[in-house]
Amino acid sequence: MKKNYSPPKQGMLGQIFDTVLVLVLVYASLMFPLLFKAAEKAENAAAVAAAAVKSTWESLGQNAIQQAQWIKLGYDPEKAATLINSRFDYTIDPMMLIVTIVVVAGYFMFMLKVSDKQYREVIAEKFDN
Amino acid sequence: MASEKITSGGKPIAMLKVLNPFHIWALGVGIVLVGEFMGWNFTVGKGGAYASLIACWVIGLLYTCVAMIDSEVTSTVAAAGGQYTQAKHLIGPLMAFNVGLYLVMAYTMLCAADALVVGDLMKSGAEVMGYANLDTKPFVVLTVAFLAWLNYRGVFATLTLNLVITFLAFLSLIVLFFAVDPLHQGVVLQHQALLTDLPYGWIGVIASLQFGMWYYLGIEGTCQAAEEVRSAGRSIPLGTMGGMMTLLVAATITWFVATGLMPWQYLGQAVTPMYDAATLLGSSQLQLMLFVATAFAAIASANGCINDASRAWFSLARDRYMPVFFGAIHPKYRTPYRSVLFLVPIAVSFAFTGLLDQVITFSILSGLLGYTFMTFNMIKFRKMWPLGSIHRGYIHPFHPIPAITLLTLCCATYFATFLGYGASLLSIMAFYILASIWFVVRRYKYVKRADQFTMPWPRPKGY
Amino acid sequence: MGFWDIIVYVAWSLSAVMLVWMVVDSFMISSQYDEEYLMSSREGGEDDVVHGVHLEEGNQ
Repeated sequence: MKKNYSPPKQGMLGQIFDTVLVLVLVYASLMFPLLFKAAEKAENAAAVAAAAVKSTWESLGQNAIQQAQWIKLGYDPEKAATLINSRFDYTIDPMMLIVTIVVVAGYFMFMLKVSDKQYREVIAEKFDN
Repeated sequence: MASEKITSGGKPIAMLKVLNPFHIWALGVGIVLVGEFMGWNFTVGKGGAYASLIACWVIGLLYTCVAMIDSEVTSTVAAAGGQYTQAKHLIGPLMAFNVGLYLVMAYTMLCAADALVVGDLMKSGAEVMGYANLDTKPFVVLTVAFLAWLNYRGVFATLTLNLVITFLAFLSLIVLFFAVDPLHQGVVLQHQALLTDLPYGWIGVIASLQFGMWYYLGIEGTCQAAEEVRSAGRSIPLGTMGGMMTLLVAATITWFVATGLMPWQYLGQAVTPMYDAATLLGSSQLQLMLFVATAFAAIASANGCINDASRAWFSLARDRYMPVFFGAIHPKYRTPYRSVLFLVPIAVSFAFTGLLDQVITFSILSGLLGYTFMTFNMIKFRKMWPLGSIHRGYIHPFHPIPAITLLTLCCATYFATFLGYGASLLSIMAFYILASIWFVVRRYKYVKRADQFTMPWPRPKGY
Repeated sequence: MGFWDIIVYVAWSLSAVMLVWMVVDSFMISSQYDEEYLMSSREGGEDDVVHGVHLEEGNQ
């Protein structure tokens, strides 16, 4: 029978440090994708500029009722064109996809493995002693 | 003075058990309903109107699985912290730490987004009344401060408010539904003319799954109230399942009304689609009603988020996963008051980063990670404590089909997130991985081992 | 000063009052109550219905 693990007490300073550390990590992960976004935006702006030709409801492929609703919403063909012509790009970068799958799957596998080890310790202490 | 401090007298402090199933419904639906007023429509932008409807039902299935699984586990493991406590008892400390973080992050960030909505509504309200460029900041802060104050002063008033305003917001959707003359196509609704084929094909349908979560995100927060509800084993399944039904109805109505009024390209990027729908109907009463309802929905959501995030943070602290300071309960109001207070500046700062996109992605992905965890959780729960070995308040049917369905749909939604926000996805995963390493290396040494297991259960099978 | 300017000031002041009230209250609680007591809550509380019962000892 092993002795129960007794944890050290954490001082106030340590508590503050740990709290701040988690917050810093959160903000960093919020900011990080901005680095990619800047490049993407420049590309998009170029694409929109290229598409700026004179638009009519017909060239935008809007039927009579669609036109009526656009007008009720306060849009003319020019303004609507930016919304109608902007499209998402769903091309898949296979390398990125593989990296993402490995990261997500690896994360869960790592977590389940470590958790299981810690869990056995908890159960042993709880039910053996 | 120090020697005269009031002590326990041997009796531990506890939260008040004052809530009923209606409060649980209000907590669950209150958090989510704002998603029907705004946000859900980005699914339309991602894949067209039909993709949005498919997402609405496919993700509805995902959440029905979530509600079934959650009801069974929570009716048995009833503690503040909800899924966090479940993870602790069924999978292990590191998973529990991560689940706790998912909850805190998902709800705090959602709260920030809700407060921003209130600010923006004030601004557009002022514009209508002839005052341009109203500063939104004071209203964002006021929303968070007021709701935190309410949460600080007691859970009963907090969730009773949620019950009232959530119900009114839901009612406004029903009124809107009848206002568009739903039985006669072509009078007000123009589905034949406005619905188009899938503009991106089926890949657009998958892509729309990510924002499809907006229709229901947060319903699983009901189990955070487990320590404050009377007979949790009955009330939580009842409130959650009732909430899920309400949301399925609300989501379908929302889709039906909005797609019958607006071209999908507009709808796909609209900030307040339901308000726009009322505007198109040309009735100023309806407009006013939807304006107020949108504000109510946003406030109810922020309110529920503060409630849930603070319970999760409190539970993490009570087990020393996070600094123990936050594990205190207010002796008079019986709320986790330090956690409530701590989350105020955090929510406000998230709102002020100006990174709404990022914040919302973080929130959605944290939710999704939590649902993925539920699948392992459920399978282990039935394995380690088979039916009959412990008393369960509720047993869900068809196991393991809901768990497998849930895992499959989660994978599809990860793929959708990859399509739309690949860089954010990796960055957020990096956060959880770093936090996990930090927990294992530095944080776990402060945790008492056996104390984490608090349920009066027999030893689990296989351990 | 117009109507909306006043509203903005009211919003700021109300927020400040509520925040200050919470901070002051939490300090007062810390000074009046023993920290051990504030931290003494236990997971799951003392609920009777919720918790599982051992089959060996319980019903059936």
